[in-house]
Formats: sequence, C-alpha cells, structure tokens
Amino acid sequence: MTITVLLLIHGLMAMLLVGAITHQLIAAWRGAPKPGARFFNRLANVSTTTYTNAVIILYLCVVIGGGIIYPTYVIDVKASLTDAQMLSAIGAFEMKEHAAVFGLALLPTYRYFWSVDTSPAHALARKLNTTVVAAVVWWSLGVGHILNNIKGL
Amino acid sequence: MRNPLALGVFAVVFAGVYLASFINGWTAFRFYPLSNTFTTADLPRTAGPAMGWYAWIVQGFLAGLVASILALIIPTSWGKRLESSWTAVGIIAVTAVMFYVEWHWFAGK
Repeated sequence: MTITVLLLIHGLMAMLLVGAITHQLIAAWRGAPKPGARFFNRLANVSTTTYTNAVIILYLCVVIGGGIIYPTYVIDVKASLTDAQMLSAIGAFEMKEHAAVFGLALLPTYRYFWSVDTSPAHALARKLNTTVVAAVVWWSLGVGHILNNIKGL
Repeated sequence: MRNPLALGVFAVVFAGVYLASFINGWTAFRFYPLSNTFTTADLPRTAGPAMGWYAWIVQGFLAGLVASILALIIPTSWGKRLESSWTAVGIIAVTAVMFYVEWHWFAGK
C-alpha cells in the first residue's frame, strides 16, 4: 500500500516536472515572447527563469522517490519481466535509471546558466542543458508509464 | 559555487565515473532488497538480487566533487575559452556510450 502511494506521488511529481521543463524548453528555443492568442504562443510565453528552481526541486524529489521505490521494482517487476523474457522493457528501464543520474549531474550547470549568468553569450548552453534535462525527464516518464502498464507495483 | 568550469567538470566526471563504475562493475557496496541490507560484501545468490545503483551514484558524485574542487585551481580565463555548452555535449556523449552499452537488451543477444 505504501509503495503504491509512493509510486502515485512519484508519477504525479514527474507529470509536474514534465510540464515545467517543457514550458521552459519551448520558451528557451523560441526566444523572445511573441504576442498572440494561439495555443503555441501562450505555451512559449512564460518567464523561463522562474521555472528553474521548480524544475530542480521536482527533479530531486522524483529521483529520491524513484530511489525509494526502486528496490520494490527489482523484486516485483524486474523479476516478472525477466520471467516473461521482456528484455526490451528491462533495457528501457536500465537506460532510464542511468539517464536520470546524468540529468542529476547536469543540474548545477543547468541552474548556473538560468539563475546566475543569464547573459546572451550562454544562450546555446542554456538551450542544450534544458534540452538534455527535458529529454531525460520525457524518457523517464514514458518508460515509467509503460512499465507501470505492463506490471505495476 | 559560481564557477561554470568547475560545475561542468562536476557534471561530466560524475556521469562518466558513474557509467564507468556500471560498465566495469566497480561497486563499493551493494543493496540487497530482499533482506533490506546495505553491505560491502558480495553475498551468495540466496540473498537475492543485488543493486549497485546507489553505489555508482555515490562514487560518481564523490569523483565529480573532487574533480570540481581541483578545477577551481584552474584560472577562470582558461575556462572562458571553452564554449559554455561543452558540459551538455559531454553529457550527451556519456549518454550515447550508455545507449551503446545497453543496446544488447534490444538486440536480443
């Protein structure tokens, strides 16, 4: 029961994280805000810097939550996947666990270029750092969701 | 810390040492979820599956921390010569190696 609640919280926080990093990613690549009532303009017209701390806190919470429920995955889910010879599902999760750590390692640099030195000279670094973190977050959410569909905790 | 070079070194060394630890099996300690035990010993198969993930994170983090402290010695003018996006490129490179190493799950080998 506790693990189910933790998994639910983990998933909900991951959803929030995807929302925050996606807004920031689109706004970072889009450049200056463009007025307009269209959906995509509104999606991109956000204050990118205000998302930084939220992304970092959510990322840390999601990784810590994932670390807590990971042993249960190894015992309950991975064993079942191994029995069912669903090797690609196991591989996708392995990539997710590694990618999550790489994203974690990048967070200090990500924060630096969004909060400390926001000069235009570092625009490419900001875009690339945000893209990498967003890719990790999207991959992790997708794999986690699919694995939960295959065999939830 | 407000030194982008040191932060970049931290990121790439953290990720690189984590991946090297995973590939080479450098695991300072393991977690055995069946018995809820952290141990430096390599327990028999009857102890159930062993997890090295936590150890690889700690090892990568410590290596990144030491490397970033050493990077503080480097004059900041040297760091400014580097394109500031090199850290993200480094992480992408480490990720590419990881994908290559883990691809066997999808190749059916």
